[in-house]
Amino acid sequence: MIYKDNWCWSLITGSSLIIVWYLSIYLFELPRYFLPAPHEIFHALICEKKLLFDAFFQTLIPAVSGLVVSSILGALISLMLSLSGLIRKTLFPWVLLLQLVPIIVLTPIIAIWLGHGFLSIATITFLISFFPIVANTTHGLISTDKILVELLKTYRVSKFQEMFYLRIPYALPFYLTGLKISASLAMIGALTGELFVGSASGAKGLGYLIIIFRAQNKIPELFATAFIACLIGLIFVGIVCLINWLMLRKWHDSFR
Amino acid sequence: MSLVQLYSIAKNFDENRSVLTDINFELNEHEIVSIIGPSGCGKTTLLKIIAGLVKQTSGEVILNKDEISFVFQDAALLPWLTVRKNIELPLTLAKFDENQIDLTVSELLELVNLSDVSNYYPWQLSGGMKMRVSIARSLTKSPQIMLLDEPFGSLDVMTRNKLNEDFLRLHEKQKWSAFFVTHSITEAVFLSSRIVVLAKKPATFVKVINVNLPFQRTEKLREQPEYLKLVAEVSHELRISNNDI
Repeated sequence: MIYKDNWCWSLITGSSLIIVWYLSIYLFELPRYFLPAPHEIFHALICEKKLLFDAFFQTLIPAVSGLVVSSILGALISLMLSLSGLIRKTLFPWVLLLQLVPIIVLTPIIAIWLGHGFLSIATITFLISFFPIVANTTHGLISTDKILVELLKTYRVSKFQEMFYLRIPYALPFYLTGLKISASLAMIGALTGELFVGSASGAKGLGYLIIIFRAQNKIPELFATAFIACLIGLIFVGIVCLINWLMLRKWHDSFR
Repeated sequence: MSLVQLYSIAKNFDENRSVLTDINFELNEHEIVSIIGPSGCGKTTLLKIIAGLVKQTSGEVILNKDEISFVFQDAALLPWLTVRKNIELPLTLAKFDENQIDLTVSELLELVNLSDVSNYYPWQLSGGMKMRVSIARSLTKSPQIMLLDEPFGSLDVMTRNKLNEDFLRLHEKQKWSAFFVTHSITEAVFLSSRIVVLAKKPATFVKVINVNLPFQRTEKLREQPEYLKLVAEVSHELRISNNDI
């Protein structure tokens, strides 16, 4: 039955929200600068498509770069942390501390160190998105089923074999969960970077458009920019979900 | 010839917690010895000491053969590997030649009647099938000594009885020796040439019962008076050795 499909439910809730949106505007007589109607946002999307399209790619590149570096470095840091309790006790508090420092405080410092441009934005994206990968993957690597660890010990395997044949595949679902969270954070990181350091460099990403549209009081265009930013986030999460499906669908409990 | 010799094995987890004390025993060629005792008495710990997974506090374990295999209570299959890949695992880890791996695994799959499901993942198997994969995996390197920790404990009676017969069939073909930990008296009598009864806290071997039943054992044996008499004897020994339970 069609109503059993997930997309069908999403479509129903989406359509209901648009109806509620229109009703709110007309019933409460909300001014356009407060909440533009969906068709006005769509109109802004069409009118500013060139600007938005360019900004989309300007933001996409540092966001992807930061996320890719997060996914690689995050996995490597997790592998290192899982090697011994001593390494975890020594390094994990500092990794956590880095995550706890508000990114807005770090942003100007990063701009001083790395300049006002791509590198700073990608670094901010990395800093905001690497922690979920590290926390999840490390947890997966160190919580491997004890019986499976003992099983491999009876085969007298090396540490490397234990890691390669057991701990890494066991931690894979944990890594992918972390990556899913990071993918949704990467867009926030890239936008924060652009808002605070990117605009000065002349990079005209979505962050720059937010500043411009806000200054010009172009509210439908501002909503259109938010829509495009959401789209990037959705693409990221969608790609991670696809990887998740490709790698786990045959054996993992989450697909049954 | 003794394959495993245990001399005065003792294990304390801390000063106040002695699990095993003064265990002396010899496992001979081609025999299956069941170890039976109450829950938590240290049966698994003893098997792990023999396998080298746990270090004994005192005493000595002498193994006269190198190739040991351990079968866990849980089938302990890697969920991301197919049945075939799970069975291959010990050979892959030992870097065996691929042709040899293929040949050995195909033979084992036939031996445990799982050729049809070789590409299935563990979640697609029943409890009994999982255990058969686990046993097939333990046989890949032609072990001389098998250590089995309640391998059929979580299965229903019908499946368990069937696997008991399969187990004896494999033993007859491959002639390994085994320590078989179980809670089931009937299973112990059906499978073993000797049964060792453990007393509780700290556990020690209190009685060794010889099972003088015919070598060829089938389901019909379970109705024979000599089998039932042995079941009663083991049950009695277990009760008087652990009169606090």
